[in-house]
Amino acid sequence: MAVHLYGVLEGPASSALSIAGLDGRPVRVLPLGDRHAWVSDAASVRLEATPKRIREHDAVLRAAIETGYSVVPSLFGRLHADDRSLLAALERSAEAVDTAMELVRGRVEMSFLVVPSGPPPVMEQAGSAEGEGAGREHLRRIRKQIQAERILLASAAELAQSASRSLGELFVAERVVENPMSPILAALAHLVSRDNVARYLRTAKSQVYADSAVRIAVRGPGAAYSFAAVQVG
Amino acid sequence: MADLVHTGGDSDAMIEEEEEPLILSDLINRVLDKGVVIGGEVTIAVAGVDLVRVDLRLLLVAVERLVRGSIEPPA
Repeated sequence: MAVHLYGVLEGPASSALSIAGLDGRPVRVLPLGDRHAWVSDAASVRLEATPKRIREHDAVLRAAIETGYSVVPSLFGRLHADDRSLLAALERSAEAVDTAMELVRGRVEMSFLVVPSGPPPVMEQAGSAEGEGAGREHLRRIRKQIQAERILLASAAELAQSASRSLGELFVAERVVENPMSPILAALAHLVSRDNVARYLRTAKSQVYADSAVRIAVRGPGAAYSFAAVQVG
Repeated sequence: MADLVHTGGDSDAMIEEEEEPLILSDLINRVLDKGVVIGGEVTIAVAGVDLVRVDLRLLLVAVERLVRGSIEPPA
């Protein structure tokens, strides 16, 4: 049976866990000296990335964050043959995990997202023009749509830059997510001290919207995938 | 455990079903974008609607490289 690693944790001593992980399987603790690895068993040696599993992986790490652990998250998708091979792989990655733990100790990741405030604009219906006129009309509508999307992206980028300046004193590192997946227009990842999370949220929510076509959403606190994730093995 | 999305409303923390695509997109941006290698093409779908077809041949940026490139560990 294969083993899935969620992350390496440092913090309060592990008591009995009652957390469900991937596919509802119980999360187990592997002691690593003064740290712990949270793992669960997988039914097969191949792990398919599904939305449900990605959410489950993240939920386990958020549970660890909520409990007060410092978490070096493992990226999703690699399985290990058994506990022994995982522990050996962790041993080989010890330096990377140490460096990552230095970064995340007492810190969490916040996602600052800019998204459309409403549904995407519906493309205008074709008019009654025929032949060459209809083709030109179609191209005109496409150009108009592209222009509207560019304006929306520019507004989102401007809002993200402004927020970055406002939040600057509250994060220790920032990562700009390139080409974020729809519906997200702009995304920033911030590494934030736990002590600053409440202030971060207040400041993020107080950002002024210059363009009502976009809005802000903030996710977190969560595991610091953007700054200190490791792929062990 | 519920996933929180904080928005600019009156509530400090709102849990909204309609934010599901947003949460998933954010997670895919972060959990998969710089590390996982799951050969092949995977369709990410929510409620039966394909959001995006992702070619998951993405390369890990090792934490050492990330640290060297942009971040120094705290003193």
